Amino acid sequence: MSGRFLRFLLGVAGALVGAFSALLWAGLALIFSPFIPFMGGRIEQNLPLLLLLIVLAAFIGGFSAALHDQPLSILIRLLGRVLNVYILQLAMGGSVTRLTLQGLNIEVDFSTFISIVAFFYVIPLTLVDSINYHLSSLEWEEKKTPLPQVNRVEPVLEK
Amino acid sequence: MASQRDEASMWLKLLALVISFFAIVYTLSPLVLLLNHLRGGGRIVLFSYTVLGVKPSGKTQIEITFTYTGPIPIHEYSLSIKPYCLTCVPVTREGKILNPGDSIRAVLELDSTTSRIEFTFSGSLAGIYRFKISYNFTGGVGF
Repeated sequence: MSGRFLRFLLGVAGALVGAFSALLWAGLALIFSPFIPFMGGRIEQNLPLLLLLIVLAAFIGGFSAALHDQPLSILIRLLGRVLNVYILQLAMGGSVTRLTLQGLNIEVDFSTFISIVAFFYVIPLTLVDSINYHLSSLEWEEKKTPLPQVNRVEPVLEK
Repeated sequence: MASQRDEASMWLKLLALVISFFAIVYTLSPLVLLLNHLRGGGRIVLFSYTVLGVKPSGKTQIEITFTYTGPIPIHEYSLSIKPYCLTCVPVTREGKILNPGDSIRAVLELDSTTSRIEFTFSGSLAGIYRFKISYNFTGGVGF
């Protein structure tokens, strides 16, 4: 199997994983959905944009997997994580969610929550990615560098 | 050598994921508790009022009491009551923390031209989620 085809397959698998991960992040916001309509409320969501971003997440996942051995993949993954957090924010109806509940007009500002999620999700995992890349490049260097030659003394056979 | 590195990076990734998971769960917990309280039919505010009397100027004095019955403390709260009438004065009550069971009292003076009262309550749920709730009480002119 050629290297290009393998990279393509990796890209397709990565796209599936990326889309699924984005869906999970959107789903995290939808945890609240069973509560909101139950109480007569409604969250305004921009579904077409949400779907478009999930498709974009699939592309990012695909590129990230296909270029997993390149330093650029760290940046692509970082972009994917930022996109996931944005998808979460969008699925929650924006950083300020407006809903009507039992005749009350409610506005909830999720920006602190979004910042906490961004801080604890994007930064540690990107750091781990960078460390992993650094470790694997060290390993690669070790493989490339030949082992020190030992001068072998040929045994002299006694006659 | 390589397997030791792989193991170290795996542990690092696991640690990062665990930190990320707990941070998200901790941040979401106040909201989930509140929504669960509402879903179970619980109310977050009990409202009552007492007519204190009628002043010589013709204004009616009403004491309004809001009792917070939600499960999570509210930080930096502010309650603003704005009656719409010719001579009425808005009332604002502010505080650092509102624990479950705490009450806010406000005395309003309404005249016969009062058409509606606007209640606005803002604060921060568990210090994480800032919110604003507004409600219009309309009863027609003079109620």
